[in-house]
Amino acid sequence: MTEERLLQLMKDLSAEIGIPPNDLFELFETFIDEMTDEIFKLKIAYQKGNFLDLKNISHNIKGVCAFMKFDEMFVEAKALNDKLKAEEFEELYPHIETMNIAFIGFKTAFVDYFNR
Amino acid sequence: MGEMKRILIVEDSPTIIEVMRIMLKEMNVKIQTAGSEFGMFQSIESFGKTVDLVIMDITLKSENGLDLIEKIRLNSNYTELPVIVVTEHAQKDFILRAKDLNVKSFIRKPIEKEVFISRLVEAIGIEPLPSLFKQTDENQDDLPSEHETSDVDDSEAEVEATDNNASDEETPEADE
Repeated sequence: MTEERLLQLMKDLSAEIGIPPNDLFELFETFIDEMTDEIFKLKIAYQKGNFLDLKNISHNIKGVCAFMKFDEMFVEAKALNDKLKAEEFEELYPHIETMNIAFIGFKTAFVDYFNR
Repeated sequence: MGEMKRILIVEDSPTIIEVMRIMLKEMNVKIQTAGSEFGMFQSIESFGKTVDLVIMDITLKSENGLDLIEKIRLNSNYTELPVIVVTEHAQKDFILRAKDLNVKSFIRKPIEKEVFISRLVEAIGIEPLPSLFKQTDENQDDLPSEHETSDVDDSEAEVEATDNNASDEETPEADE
């Protein structure tokens, strides 16, 4: 994720919830902790072939990312969740992987920005 | 300033709880949180008092929020306890069941601050700071508020998302 994109995300989010962009630090930390945990659980559920857990976790990621205006993760979580709702179990992992890459990009941009 | 109102948020996403905390930072409220039925019943009474309001996420990972409200209502002490439901969007069955469970009003996800605050003001009469009301809640008009839940009938109960947010395209898990 570019710094420009991170700043846009911060601007949109701060306008939505009513706090200055630079006060988003704690919220982003909470988001990163939660998503780290959720993506880990998603991978475990995939390895075990537990489609119910996959559906529930992707639903949560989708909802939280919609809240956070994080479209890059939202679209993948939604696509994964839609497939699981439709009981289509092919090509699930690419969504998890793309989601993970988007998340790592966000995390890196976040750390770079707030550590500066 | 009156007595501090106590709000129980039943939600299993730490991020969304944090967002709600931020939105309520300037209000005279004490927030408790629970992520499950067990935690909910532990928190609904504390220090010898019942909370003033429950904000219930309908799509908890392992539980259905409406089922939890039903369990709350089974206790005769909580039949009138104000409950606000947080949901992605709602369909007829959902709204009718919520109405039967004496749900005070609804808030659409992703939550908008002004709407969130106004629903709380309606439900428990807390006074917001004037600066919190900069916008109207027109995007949420398709979900009934406190005054409207009692008027829902079969002909108007189906609610569809109308704003541009991507998550509004979803079918709620609660209705599945």
